[in-house]
Amino acid sequence: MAPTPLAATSTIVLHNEMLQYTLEKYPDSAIERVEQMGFSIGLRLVERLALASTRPLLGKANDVVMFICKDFWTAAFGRQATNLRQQRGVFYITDNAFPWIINVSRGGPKDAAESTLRSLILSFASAVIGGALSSLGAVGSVVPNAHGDQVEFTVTGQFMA
Amino acid sequence: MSAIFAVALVGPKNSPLFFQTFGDVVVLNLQFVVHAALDVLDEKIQDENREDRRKDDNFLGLLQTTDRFKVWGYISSTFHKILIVAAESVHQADIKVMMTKIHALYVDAYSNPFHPIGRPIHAATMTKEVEALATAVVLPMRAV
Repeated sequence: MAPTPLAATSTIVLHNEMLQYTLEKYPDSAIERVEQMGFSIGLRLVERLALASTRPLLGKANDVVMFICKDFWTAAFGRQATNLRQQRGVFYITDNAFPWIINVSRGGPKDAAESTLRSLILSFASAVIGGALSSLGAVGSVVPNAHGDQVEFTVTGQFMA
Repeated sequence: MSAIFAVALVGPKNSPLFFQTFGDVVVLNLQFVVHAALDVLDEKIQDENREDRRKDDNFLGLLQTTDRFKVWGYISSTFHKILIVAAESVHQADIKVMMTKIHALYVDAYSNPFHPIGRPIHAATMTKEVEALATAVVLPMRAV
């Protein structure tokens, strides 16, 4: 089944609204809450994507990371990741204009409130990616690193094969 | 009478997520058969990992034959497994189509945000649809 077409802008607006709401309602535990949400979203999203692939990935590191950069990135962020490199078992996935962050403050945060929201967006995105990875059989962490509109996700994990 | 006896769906850590039997069968017996076949399924995947043999299909084919049943297996990239216990004469092609459809039904049930991840599925729609799929498979006509 092909992913349901949906206006990308409205998704991002809803996404930002959801994060703002969490931040206002739970200022102390916003990050944990957002990470929990992201993780289960990642799990459910990948389950549906797995339906479209006829070949099981069986937890092979390269297959899994390629799947994340191509299929998953397209479904979650509307295009493939810009760059992927691997260094000593650690994967670095770069997106030159990360769509979730680009609408909040183009080019970089201007004040403290913006940078809080930006770090919340990145925590959420990392959790979604982490959930996706975990359902494909990888146990590990995803750490975001933003420079302006460019975001680099560092994936450190144990893969099944 | 349906030619499919049971459909089972298990999670990544082999926790039971869905189990349904059809017709006049002994449920415990079928659970036992599925349990045994699950070991064969795990072996099959792990062997392939070891030899690095590329398996190009989610459908794992026949897992086990007993005196009355054949057990078929399927695995998704997310390590969810489906097992079908069927009569001996059911064709592989029918089972394969059914596996994909059951996986799709499961994904629909799983996509429900109120469904707790990793817990058994209690979705009326899924139960109904799987039943419809299972009863649609009938034994091929025997030449008299």
